[in-house]
Amino acid sequence: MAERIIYELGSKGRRAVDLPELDVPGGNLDAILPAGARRRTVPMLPEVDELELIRHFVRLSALNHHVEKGFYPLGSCTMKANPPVNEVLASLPGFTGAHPLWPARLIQGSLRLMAELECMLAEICGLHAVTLQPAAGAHGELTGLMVVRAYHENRGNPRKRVIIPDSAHGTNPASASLVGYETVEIKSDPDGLVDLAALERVLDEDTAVFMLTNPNTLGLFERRICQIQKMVHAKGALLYMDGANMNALLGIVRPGDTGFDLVHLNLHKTFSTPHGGGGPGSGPLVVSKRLEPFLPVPRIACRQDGTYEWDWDRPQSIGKVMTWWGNFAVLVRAYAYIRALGGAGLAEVSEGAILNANYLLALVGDRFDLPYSGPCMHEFVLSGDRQKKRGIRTLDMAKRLLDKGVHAPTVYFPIIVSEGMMIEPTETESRESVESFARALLEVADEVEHDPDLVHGAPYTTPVSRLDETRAARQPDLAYKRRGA
Amino acid sequence: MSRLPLTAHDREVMLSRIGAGNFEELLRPIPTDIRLSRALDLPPPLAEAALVAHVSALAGANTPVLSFVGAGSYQHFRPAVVDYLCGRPEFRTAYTPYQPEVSQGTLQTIYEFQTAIVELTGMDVANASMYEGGSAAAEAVFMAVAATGRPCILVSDGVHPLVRRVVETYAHPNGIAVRRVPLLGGTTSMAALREVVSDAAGLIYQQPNFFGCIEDQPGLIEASHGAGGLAIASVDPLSLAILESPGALGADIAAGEGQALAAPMSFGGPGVGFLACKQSLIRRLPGRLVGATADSQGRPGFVLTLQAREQHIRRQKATSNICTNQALVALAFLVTVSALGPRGLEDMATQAVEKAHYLQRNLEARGLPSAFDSPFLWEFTVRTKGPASAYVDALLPRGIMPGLDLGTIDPPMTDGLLVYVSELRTRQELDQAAALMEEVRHG
Repeated sequence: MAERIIYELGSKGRRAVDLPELDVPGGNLDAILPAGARRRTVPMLPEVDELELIRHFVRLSALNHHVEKGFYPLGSCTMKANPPVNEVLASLPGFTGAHPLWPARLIQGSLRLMAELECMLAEICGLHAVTLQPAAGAHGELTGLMVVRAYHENRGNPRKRVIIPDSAHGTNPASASLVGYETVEIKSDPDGLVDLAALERVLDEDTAVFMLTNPNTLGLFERRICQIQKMVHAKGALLYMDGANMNALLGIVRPGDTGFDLVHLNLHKTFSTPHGGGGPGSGPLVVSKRLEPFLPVPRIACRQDGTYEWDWDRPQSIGKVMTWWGNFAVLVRAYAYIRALGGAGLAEVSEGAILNANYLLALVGDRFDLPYSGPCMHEFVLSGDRQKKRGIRTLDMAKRLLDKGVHAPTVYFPIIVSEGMMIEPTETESRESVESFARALLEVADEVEHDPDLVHGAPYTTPVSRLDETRAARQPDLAYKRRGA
Repeated sequence: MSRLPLTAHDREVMLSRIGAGNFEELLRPIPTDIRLSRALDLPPPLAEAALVAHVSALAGANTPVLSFVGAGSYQHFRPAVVDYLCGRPEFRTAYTPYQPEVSQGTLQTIYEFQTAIVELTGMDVANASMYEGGSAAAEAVFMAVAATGRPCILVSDGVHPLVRRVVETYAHPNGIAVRRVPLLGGTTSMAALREVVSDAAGLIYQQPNFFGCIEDQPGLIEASHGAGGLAIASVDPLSLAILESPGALGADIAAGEGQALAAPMSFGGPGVGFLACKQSLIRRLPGRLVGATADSQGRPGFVLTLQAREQHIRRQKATSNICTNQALVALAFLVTVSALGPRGLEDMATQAVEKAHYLQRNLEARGLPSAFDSPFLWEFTVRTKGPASAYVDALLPRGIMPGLDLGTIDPPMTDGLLVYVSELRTRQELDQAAALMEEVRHG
């Protein structure tokens, strides 16, 4: 039963909340506003009472799958549990009521939290300095590439190219283009890792940076990372780590110790902040000492007396990537997560993530094609090629999984795996939960063999069946128009 | 760690099934010499009660004041129903709706958000969403440059100085020149604009502008269009309850920050950026778009659409790199405008205007006039006698932050105080602030 559009609900004149009576003289608006500046038409916005408003969104919410309902093994997205206490802490009035332009003396608590979070993230990454400004992972990438460009410009030549493996996230080449770099893609070797010979062929004095995800999007650790960093640095280029998969490395390997010059983190992945149906996230950038001068302004400075202030005097800074200082309420949650776990606890996070992924792989691996053999890190990628020969595609299997009360894995990514299924269980799932998902996936594999039509027509139990994406793109309907309007 | 679910017994069972003798075997792809040979040097773990105490003490180290600072981050009435609904795990702990069959809740709310932005801005299409207002403006610049093929953008000095800084930061690596258009008497100088407009991809202006002044929006749009450029409006969505929309006046793109109608200030984030445009620019619009369609049984439903613009399909040829956005705050925006409705929104805006003008008249009567004659809404620039910082220093010990000292922005205006009045301020608070400021004026 579809939920009606909110603009079709309610009745003219209804509203869910009241404002108090105006306590100053009123009625001056027409005198205040120039005639031409005044809005002429009333915008079509919902006119509903409070109960109808609540019911609408509660009914809509029931149509979603989410982490607190069931397994959500979306590879590369790290759909781990989100501790409720962090919601309480991010909502403390001392934090929510603070204005970003208040003088430093009024906001010492916020500045201290940010300064301490910067220190902790630098230690986790084995690097020197952090900016918390980027609002999401891709925003961190963009900031990182601006820093790379500023670094090279400062040395006299911005350089021209960014090298990216063919297994990279789509955001990597898109970010490179946004800072005016050309992208060179190199093929992965038969083991799914960086092909050193291919890298050697394209690395030159015009290479600005090599962007690498480690572990890569196949869930494999780039075991030749030390050779890679030597090759890259020998050409004067920088080595960037896409930290989307940092959940595999906490307390095990620090990117800085393996030669990475800069790395962005996804606080909404590794550090448990809720994904919010698509955001907000946070994508801090962590850099080595030589890149620090180029980080966005302002930086947080600690004065002799232990108080904090903004430092805007950074002549080599790239500038600003957002108006304010970062998604502060997201930072509070990540700070609380790290403080709750401590160093040993974070290492257990990654160990649990790696163990759960390898266990799940052991439970299901022999029923699918496995293009690259393990052990995997925190996630792994299966291929649905075997099932495709029976006329069932990975998309069909993903839809059938929805019928079994779990979310589908990330599908058709990385693009180098045909019929790929990228599965990331995370450390917050119990053994029974992992086993339950494995049973669901094996049931689907059985159904492909015995009743492929069943899989082909899935899903059956979801609020809607497969949607017509072609129609959506050919006849875009992107905003509700009231009939007759 | 007791909070993680895997017990020693679980580990044993799992490793056995994997065929590994111990956990270390799973790490064999990692060269031993790059392994971290110690625990991360972080503060010791805190159990939940201790964590709450510790973080609460940090929050308590901020000093709440009665604040008249706006300048891009605004405190307004937030109906309780907003956090009540947005806190639902079904919205909070889902992710990007990649599987639409189990994401109709998120998808429909995004479609409804797009509709609200389209209605308020008077544009044809809106995405859902951008990170925040500054980067939304920068993305609008990229759209204008791509649409016109002109690598130059004009930014009015009435645009928030930090938004301008973001635009400059995004423009620089792409060789896009950013030319500033100065103000005259508080609003964008038409004469200065005409001098530089000829080869620009477009003009970004802010309505009302950073100093609170209402710009001659039709004039700015006409000047930019006359030279073949686009008109990009940076707007406060609440103002659109009473001010004519940029779309109705002919602007091409509206970009802005929705925090005022969605989220608490929270020291600057998260808010929610929005970006809306005319139909002709739709293929250049970055970010996610949700479209209505039907399922295989003909039932209505929603999907992410026109994804060929996006990074996961188009990679380096995408319109933008944006992936994760601010969906939950976009939902909060939708719930807020739905709770208020068109009349509630107009009431809120009108009350803020009336209260701001009440305070402005009060200050003027006390010898603290506005710096500019232009009409304004809820924000205005007071010309202080002596440095504005003196007013901040004198009132803070009384628990009042009287406004933004414009000596702290670029370019500095040392005797300017930018005062914002929320509809939440009471007459008594306004009278008190005015009286205290008069005391400072008298020294």
